[in-house]
Amino acid sequence: MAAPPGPVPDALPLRPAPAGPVARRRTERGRLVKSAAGLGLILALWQASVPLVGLSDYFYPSPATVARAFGELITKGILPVYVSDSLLRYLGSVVVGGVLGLLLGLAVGLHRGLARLLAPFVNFLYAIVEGAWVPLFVVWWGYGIKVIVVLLVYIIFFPMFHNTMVGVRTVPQVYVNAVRALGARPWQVVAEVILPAALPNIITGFRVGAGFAFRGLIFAEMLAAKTGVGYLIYEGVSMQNTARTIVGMICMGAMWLFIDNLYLKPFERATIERWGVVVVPEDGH
Amino acid sequence: MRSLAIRGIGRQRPVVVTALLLAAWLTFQAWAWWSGGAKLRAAGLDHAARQVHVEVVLGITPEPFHMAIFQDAGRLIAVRGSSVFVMDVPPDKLRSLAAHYWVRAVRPWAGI
Amino acid sequence: MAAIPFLAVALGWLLAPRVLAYPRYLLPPAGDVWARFLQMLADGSLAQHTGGSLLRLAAGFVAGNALAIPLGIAIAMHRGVAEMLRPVLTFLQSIAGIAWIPLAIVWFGIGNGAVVFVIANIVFFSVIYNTVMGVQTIPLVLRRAVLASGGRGVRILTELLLPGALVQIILGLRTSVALGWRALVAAEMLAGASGLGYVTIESVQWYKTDVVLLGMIVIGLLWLLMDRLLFVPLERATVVRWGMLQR
Repeated sequence: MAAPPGPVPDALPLRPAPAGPVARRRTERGRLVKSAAGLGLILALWQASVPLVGLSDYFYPSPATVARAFGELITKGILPVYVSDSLLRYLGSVVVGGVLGLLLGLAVGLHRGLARLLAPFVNFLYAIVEGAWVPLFVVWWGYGIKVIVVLLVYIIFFPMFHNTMVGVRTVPQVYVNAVRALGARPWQVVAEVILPAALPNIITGFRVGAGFAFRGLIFAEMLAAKTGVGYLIYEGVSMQNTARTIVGMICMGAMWLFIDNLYLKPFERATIERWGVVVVPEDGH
Repeated sequence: MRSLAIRGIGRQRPVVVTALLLAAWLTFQAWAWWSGGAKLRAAGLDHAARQVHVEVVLGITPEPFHMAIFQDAGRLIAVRGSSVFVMDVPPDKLRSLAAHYWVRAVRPWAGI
Repeated sequence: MAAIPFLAVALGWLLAPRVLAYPRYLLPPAGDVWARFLQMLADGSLAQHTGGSLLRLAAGFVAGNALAIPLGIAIAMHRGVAEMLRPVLTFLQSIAGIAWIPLAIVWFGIGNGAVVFVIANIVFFSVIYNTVMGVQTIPLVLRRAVLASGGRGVRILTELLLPGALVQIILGLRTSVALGWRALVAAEMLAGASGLGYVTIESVQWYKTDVVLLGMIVIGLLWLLMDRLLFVPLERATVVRWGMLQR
């Protein structure tokens, strides 16, 4: 079985899934209960370990302290602003970078010559870890939002570009020929055949890029921002309020789970269900 | 691009949840705007036509985060307890200042 | 033909100072960067920073795996526990690494300890997530085969779980080192006292952009080397040969 280039897919259960909506709802509720139990277990272990570790709130805050910090950040109106600032930066950059990657990947994918020309160069750029670009961006634009946006656009561009290019290039020629034989014009071929066929790859590329971009957002905010969840994580420590740092970390995880489970995964599932499995390219990426 | 349409998109969970969240956010923004207006009306400042000096009473202890907001709204002069004294606040910035839910009241101030 | 874009960029870099007027610190000429490379090579600082970074990567990688693999297998062996912890592990994996940098500074101060901790952190959470998932994806047929041939307890461990986990580990090796490398660069920038990431961000405040560019190139080349010379051959020799991964 070919392994997809992206993150490890969700595990298939060892027991075959029970059929029928009622049974399905029952397993979903069971899974929810189990998840809540797991969460409760971790929280209980954390709370219990606080007296055992015996350090101050600065070094090892308890769940209660973190909950209090969370409440404080909400009543002071800080957390909503930070979360929305981060989300806005993230969404804007991801959309811009995604569209750029899509358009360029489409262009390069449709032109074999262009692909051979640009692909190695793009791969080399991709090898430079995105964090390594931050100092150069800071030299060019100073600390601020521009650095964050450019970094995120950069991060999501490459997986999108690469996956779009691969997706377009691996569309079976049979489909293209069939539609052309029926008299389709070039733009119709692209819109009705190539794009839908490449869509599973494109969406997976987007999901991979979105994940890296989210981590990049937090890192860039720690370095170069004055608001945002990443900044909160950093600010908590600099104001000796480690509980706030942990609130930031929890928010970060919650935001990602929200984005991934509400948007990315369903989108991916819908396109794969409709148009087929992600194709792993021959060149081994 | 008919081929890209997904059937029953209105019933998909992402769309429903996003719509609900958007509705909740819009409702909150409307409430904040209205309550800001109410705070200004209580202080007689809702028809301010030019820059005013205000004492902003907060429900919380202000932090650098809030100071930055006040600095942006006008000239931050002093902080006493949970009251912030700002001078030369233009009317539009006054409205958005009062709309914050952590602002308890706004009072006119003589300035210094 | 593939070299054309590289040549174009190199040419543009060489010609830009002659064609446009801009301050030197925005884009130092290639000659400056080359001179800086030779200088850092000569006084040993390049070797020191590169070696230190790679050492920290290795230490964090080993520590993270040493903790994650046994723990991951132990959790995965009990299906109930594994299903209970799955969402928590997913959550922790999504914040692993970079988000822990400030906390690492609190616990270890600025320096090696914090950087190695962050790398070990991301490796630990990725590997434990993959191990728990991986053991669960061992085909039912294999599990039944081991049980049918009389295997219980330890035999399940040695004949089913360990090889299965090993495959997952090798498959996940490239990803976990990639994540570790990213975490290394980020952690050295925020919490390091030496190393490639540290030297790159530190020279920003002195406007020594030639060092910044050199750092970027070295970081990119190092990863390319690690990837092409280590992982692809490793994968080819193991999981591809075993038919677990088609290339």
